[in-house]
Amino acid sequence: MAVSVPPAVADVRTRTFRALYEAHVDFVWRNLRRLGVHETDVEDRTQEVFVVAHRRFDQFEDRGHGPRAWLFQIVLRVASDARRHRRRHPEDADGGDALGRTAVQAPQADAILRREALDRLDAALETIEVGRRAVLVLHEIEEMTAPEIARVLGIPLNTVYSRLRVARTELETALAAQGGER
Amino acid sequence: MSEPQLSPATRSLLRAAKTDAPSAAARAKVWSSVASAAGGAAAGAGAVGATGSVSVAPAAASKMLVIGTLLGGTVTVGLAAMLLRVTPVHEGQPPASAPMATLAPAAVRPIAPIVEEPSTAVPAAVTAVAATPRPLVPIAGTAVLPPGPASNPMPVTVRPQPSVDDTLAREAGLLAQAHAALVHGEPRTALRAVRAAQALPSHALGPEELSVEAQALRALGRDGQANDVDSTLKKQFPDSALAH
Repeated sequence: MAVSVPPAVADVRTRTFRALYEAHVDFVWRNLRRLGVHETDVEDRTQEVFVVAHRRFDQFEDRGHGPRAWLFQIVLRVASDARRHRRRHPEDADGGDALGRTAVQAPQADAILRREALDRLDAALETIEVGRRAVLVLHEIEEMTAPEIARVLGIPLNTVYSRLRVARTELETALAAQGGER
Repeated sequence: MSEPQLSPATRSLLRAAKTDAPSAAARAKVWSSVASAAGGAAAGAGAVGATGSVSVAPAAASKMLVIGTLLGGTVTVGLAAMLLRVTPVHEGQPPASAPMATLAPAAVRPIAPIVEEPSTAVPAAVTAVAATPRPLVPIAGTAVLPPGPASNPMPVTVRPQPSVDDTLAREAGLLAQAHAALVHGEPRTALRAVRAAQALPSHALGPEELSVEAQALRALGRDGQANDVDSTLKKQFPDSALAH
């Protein structure tokens, strides 16, 4: 069955998805990291998120929350898979290539300090159960409101508040334990 | 959301996290991989447009083509190609934005039409966007849109599900890309492509995917994982020729 595909249609679809990618790749990337995806895996997992998004692109229905809510649900699943995979295969996921890339980047002092700060934050976040961590990350980093988070995660509003309260305390405790208040 | 308050030091760490983002090179690289893994529909619109007409791949023919490619069976590939009624994309010329540009054309060309095959149904969302032009990011360069909660380039839509054949064609295309990457000594690219294929819902080519995954892992020196994948292949598909 031969089917004609108007070039303009394919082009518009491509541009629309590319625009989605450009607008949200940072969001996907940093949330994968905060949700426990290792530095060496994050490129592959970011790709995975957008491949899934592309597959479901035509089914996406914006219910007023924008694509971030939709993408975050994919991020949650991909991050969960990545953590599970890493537990089973603790060795370097890409043969050390990503570490090599890090090593050849310009060793600027502020970049190193920033990297260290993020490593401390991620280590502390690792200690927080992922459901609470997701609430904390969405509120404190992505600046979503509690009702928005409730819609994104599909949980009651009061659960958002209680998870956030506990997660904040856990984060402070974890940072204090590693000397994070220096 | 006011209690308990976070300390200034913690807030400082969270502020740093707000600006965490991939480098420009990483963004471009991931996009390239996404475009490639997404079956070329994202990156290969130019090639599709050049042909103007593609054939829908019957499931059996797609599978036969991939198996034929993997096993190197010329007759099998030829039969599958006939069944698919594939129209070559500009014989001798790669697509304008070929995602696997580093691969030799000879290895890629026979499978390229499958990779470039778009969804056969015209998306309602796309139709809506086409009818009502809106500002979009230019594709040719590496233009970057600033991220932000307000940016929403997605059209609002409810659309029919993609057909099984369409999904299988994508799976077949990804698997063929993975194999081609292996042949050209790019096991990491092969691994990405095969993992993308495994993420698709059709899973009609499970044994072939596991086989290529094991080869890619072995080429990366990850023999332990490769052996695990081989074991999975033998356990899940004991009757497959690839399991022996």
